[in-house]
Amino acid sequence: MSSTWWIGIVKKYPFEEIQIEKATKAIYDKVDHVRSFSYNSKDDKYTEVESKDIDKAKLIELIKKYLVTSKSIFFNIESKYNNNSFDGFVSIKKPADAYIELDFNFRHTVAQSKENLKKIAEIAESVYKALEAFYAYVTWESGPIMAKGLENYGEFKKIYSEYKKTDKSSFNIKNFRKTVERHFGIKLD
Amino acid sequence: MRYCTIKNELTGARMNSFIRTAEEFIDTKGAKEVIRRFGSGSGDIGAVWELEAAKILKTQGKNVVEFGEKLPFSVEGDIVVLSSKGEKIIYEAKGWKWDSVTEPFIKSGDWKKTLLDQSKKMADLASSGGIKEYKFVFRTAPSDPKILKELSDLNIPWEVIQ
Repeated sequence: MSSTWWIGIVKKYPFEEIQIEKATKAIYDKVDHVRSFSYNSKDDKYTEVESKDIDKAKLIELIKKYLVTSKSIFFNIESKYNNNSFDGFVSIKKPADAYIELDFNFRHTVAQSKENLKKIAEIAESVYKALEAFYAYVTWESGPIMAKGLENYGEFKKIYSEYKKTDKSSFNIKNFRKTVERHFGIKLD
Repeated sequence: MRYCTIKNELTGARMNSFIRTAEEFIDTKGAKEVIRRFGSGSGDIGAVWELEAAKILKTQGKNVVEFGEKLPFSVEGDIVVLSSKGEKIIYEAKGWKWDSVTEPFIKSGDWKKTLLDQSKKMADLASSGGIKEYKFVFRTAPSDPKILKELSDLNIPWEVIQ
């Protein structure tokens, strides 16, 4: 259970209502259950708002309500398909003034299945597009990106610096699956 | 001393120690998967701490019998220890550097969600009799009083082992 990993999707602040709706739809299109909504308040208090299954309309309402008043919000996801399954959680936070991040967090065992990784990469690609994001990455919880901090990570710095000037990202989400393959040393095709 | 290649942020000395520890546990069930996690792709440093923590527990006289055992309630026990009465104790190894590394992970509260989700499942397993007890073993202690209070408020069982 120990190590977790996540895919982080980074977009320019703010998180517009239409993007919340599109990203939520993209998540519900690919997962079977969303449950257990919680948040970490600005004074660092963790609170669970809803422990049961949450439908799409309710999730949109909760994200809109708590995103602006919290440091971060969380909800669990579960997917079952072709005799496979995985669960994890999504966190949405604002690590810097100018951008917001949506992360898909999983235990290391989820990455042992090629089918899981393919499915998760698909979810990440859909959400990236829905959010009109400018960067995505994959990391272990104690990986080099986290050791440096995303804002000091070379690739991110370069892409973000260009993006700030041009409002266009040189990051290509079509290549992201290759990044996931390299990260785990697993071929996804 | 001749150091081997540095992988990720692992120093040569820690890498050498990891190799010796891996040799020590090579016949323990599940150890090969832990080693594979560090060896493949970009390398999971958390796997290194699992082996290091197991070595410390063994030094303390604990009987480490398995890594990554799949248990009910979707629990996979990092380090499985058997007590002298044959009761199962699970240690969850977290090698976080609370005060410098993974700052967004710590500041945003992602760490709480991670520990709570795991803790809830293990608490369910313990209350059903599947295991005797469980504990998170950290490589370093948080120094921020707010984090220490949160760990206590959230009823997370933990200790630092070195």
